[in-house]
Amino acid sequence: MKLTEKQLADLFINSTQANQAPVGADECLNAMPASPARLKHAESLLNNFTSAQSMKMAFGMKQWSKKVADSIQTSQKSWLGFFGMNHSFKVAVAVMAFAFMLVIPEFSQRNIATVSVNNDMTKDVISNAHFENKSDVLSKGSFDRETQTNDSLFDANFG
Amino acid sequence: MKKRQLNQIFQQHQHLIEKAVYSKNIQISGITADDVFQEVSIRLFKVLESDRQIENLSSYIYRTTANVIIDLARKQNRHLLDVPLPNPNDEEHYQADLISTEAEPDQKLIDSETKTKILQAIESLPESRRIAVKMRLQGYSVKEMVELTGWPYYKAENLSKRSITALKEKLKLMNIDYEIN
Repeated sequence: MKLTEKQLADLFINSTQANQAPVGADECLNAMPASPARLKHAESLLNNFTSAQSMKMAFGMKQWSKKVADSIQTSQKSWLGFFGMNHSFKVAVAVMAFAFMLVIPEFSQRNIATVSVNNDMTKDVISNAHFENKSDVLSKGSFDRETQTNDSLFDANFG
Repeated sequence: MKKRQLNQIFQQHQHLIEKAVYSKNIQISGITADDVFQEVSIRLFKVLESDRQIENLSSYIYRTTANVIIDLARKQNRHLLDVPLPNPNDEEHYQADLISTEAEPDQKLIDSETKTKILQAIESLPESRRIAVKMRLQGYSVKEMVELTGWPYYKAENLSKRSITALKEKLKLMNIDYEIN
């Protein structure tokens, strides 16, 4: 009996059509190259026609992945570079912001305390103003006083 | 990074997705470049948005894309398996002669017992040779063998040849004359 490579391939592929491959692509690709784990995962993918063909398609995306990664990194660098920022600088800014959040409320509380102390000062101008004093202007203002002769309203004569 | 920026980057390199997805070398159908584009961009955007540090972005995108393709292909496969063949009683314009009940000439030559023996012969090969045979029968090139297994190129090339020779010897013992291309 004669068997061509195409016949053998069809026979093998047909036998793997209904198989299930429980392995994901990243499990295989994450394993060390040529390691027993890598080969085990690779064989599991090959035992399923869909997975085996999908991996072939995925290999074709390697160049695309590199181009996209380069473009993303360039875009992120230019955006950060505009502000002169990199990752470590971003971390530093975050730490400073956090520190300010802690320091500013503390600083504000101290200011409030200082103001309340100032209220107790004995040289306050308002507390020195004695209304009982004879020189006080308000105490001189009396509406009942009869000696007020220069009031122009009272001089008005309609008759 | 904003979603709009990521989409722009993807669109810049769209032709490379199309080249990979619509390659004639791949025997699965039902996956479109748009499906891959959409699914990878969703997964990648989530990661970029989370500000997670990725050591090797290119490799990360590559692995994510491989997972997306496998998931899409499996989904498509399940869908195809779920769709039943037309029933002659239900279909008004059913044409029975479109589906041949006769076996193809190739299939006539190999009975089920022989098929089982051939598959057993493949499984009985040592691990590296067995994997190399399976890759070759699934239509893998030597470069693709290297990608999948991580073998050095020369090893993949040698195994591709030697494993088929070893299988031929096993089949010869079963009175099957295997013609290597």
